[in-house]
Amino acid sequence: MLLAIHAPFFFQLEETQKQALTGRIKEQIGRLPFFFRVPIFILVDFLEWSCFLFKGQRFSLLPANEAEKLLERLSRWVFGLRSLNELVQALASIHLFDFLSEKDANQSH
Amino acid sequence: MQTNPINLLDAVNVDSVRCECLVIGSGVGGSVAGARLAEAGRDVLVVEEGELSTVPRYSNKIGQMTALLYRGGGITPFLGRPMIGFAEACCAGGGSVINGGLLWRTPPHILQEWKEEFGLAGFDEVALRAHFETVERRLCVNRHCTEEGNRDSQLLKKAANQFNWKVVAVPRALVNCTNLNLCATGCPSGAKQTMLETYLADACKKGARLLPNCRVYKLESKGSSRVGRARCSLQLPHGQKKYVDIEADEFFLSGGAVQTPHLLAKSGLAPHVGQRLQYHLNLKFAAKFATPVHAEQGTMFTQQVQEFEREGLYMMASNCQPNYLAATLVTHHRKEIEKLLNERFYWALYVAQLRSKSVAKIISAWNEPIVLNHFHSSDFENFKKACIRMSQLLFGAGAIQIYLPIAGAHPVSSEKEVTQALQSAQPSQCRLISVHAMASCPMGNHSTAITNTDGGLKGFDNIVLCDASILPTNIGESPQGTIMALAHEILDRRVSLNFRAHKVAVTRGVAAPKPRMNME
Repeated sequence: MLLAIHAPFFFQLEETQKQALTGRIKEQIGRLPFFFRVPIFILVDFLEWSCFLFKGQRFSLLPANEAEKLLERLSRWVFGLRSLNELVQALASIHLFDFLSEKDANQSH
Repeated sequence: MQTNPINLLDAVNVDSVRCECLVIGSGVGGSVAGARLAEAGRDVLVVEEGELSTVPRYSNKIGQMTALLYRGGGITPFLGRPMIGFAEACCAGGGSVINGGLLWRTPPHILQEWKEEFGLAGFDEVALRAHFETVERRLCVNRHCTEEGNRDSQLLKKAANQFNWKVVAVPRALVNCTNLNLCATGCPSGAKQTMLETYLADACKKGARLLPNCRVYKLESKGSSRVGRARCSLQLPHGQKKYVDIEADEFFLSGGAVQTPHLLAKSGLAPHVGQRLQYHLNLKFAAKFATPVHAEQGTMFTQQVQEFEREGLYMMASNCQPNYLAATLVTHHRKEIEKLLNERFYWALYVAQLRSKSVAKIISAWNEPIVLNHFHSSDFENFKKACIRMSQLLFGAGAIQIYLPIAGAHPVSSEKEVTQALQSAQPSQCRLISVHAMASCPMGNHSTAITNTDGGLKGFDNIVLCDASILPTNIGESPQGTIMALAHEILDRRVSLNFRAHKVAVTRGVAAPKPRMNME
């Protein structure tokens, strides 16, 4: 899921942790009221579709810098995308450190 | 540690429940209502939409705890320009589980304003004093301020003293705080005196029961001025759901300033309710110091700068974990946030709390409340003033770099740079959050009041509101103390009213209602 990639230190996570984090964020978004849930999922699909159209691959496979650039460019054109994205980024930041601290604990063992 | 037992109603095997008093919401208002009613010998059921989680389950996994204890996993924004992130509890114990445990008495100038502008008689400083004393005693309120482990607060205090600004130690509901700095996600040490430890436990001791995971989606009328039952959906284990009806003689609504008016409007009991929701604005500042601050080891909000109280501005050190640092700077580039987090022991988070003049409207869409905010122009001016004052304070405290709450703005290193940053800022760039919403169903004698001065919903005999929604205006300070004191006063008025009615009924030879709880 693209939005988690944008969060700091995401690339330091192990692959299984990345999947667990994106799964948790999807679950959280799924619990939101319909009014917020739908535009956020539309946003995610829209970005994936745009990415496929312009870059020929999924957003989540892009290097982080390219993903951020694309997101920035699209934010200029799609009303509300920036605000919605900020909300999800904040959510990703809140959850990310649970996984980072887990990783640190595993390594210290 | 959690020692007080909570009686749970096992509703898995029942389809309908009968009780004398139904309290909807187990936050600070609902818990006071539950305790006072149970003490008066009433048969009380408290229903709560969120889960019941207690101290052993709380941890330092902030993401998990946020998902568990907050509505919408922490995301329930007020729509508008700028969009405002609103954080609200959704768990047994309500806001007391996720707040800083601040217990302020209502500022006297606010009570005066309520009396003069809203005709609120009997809610002055003297009348409420006894209630505040009761609440403070029960919640073990004290001015917690250890010199160790609260360096971020101490730096703030030192700077305020330099400027000769009023700064006070904050009265908080806690016992043996160990500075985990996790107040906002459940307090794993059990130091914070939440409703689960105090009023809700007291209610249960007197026979009240709690039904968690139960959302009331409609109140059904019985005649023109009474409500007869609450229709509820109950979340069962393994994702199952069932519907339960709860019949009661009296209904006490404590769902908070957004949910209470939404329920009333959705039930058709007060169609025009929730048009003037008020709230406080929180502006978060990240400040870097030349030496390590270790802000993650301090308790949030131990000192408060009150110099600008009359302008509705309060300044404090906030909870500071890497999660919150990253979330605060979410509009900045990932690399920039990573750099900051690598040196996070030098950084601390501070909050300026503003008494907003904006008014929001609650509408219903797909059965959920949506809050539409109209950002008042004076709030933008106050936002800028708050940025200037907080920066002055932080530079005075020794900060060498500050991130202002402006989307994408570069960090500033001098007061001149703050002025420059504010000159080019637009209202839509303000990054704001709110944790205090109120005044959506104001009480009083004025024409726009929704509730009477005994908390009763106008036009109804058996609906009482006792949460943040009944405050006539926003109050600037954290409202927990005010909500609890008002709930005490309202319950005193209601209980004595019902006691008189009970006596009249007995004198006239009419059978008085007996406490009962039938599970069919």
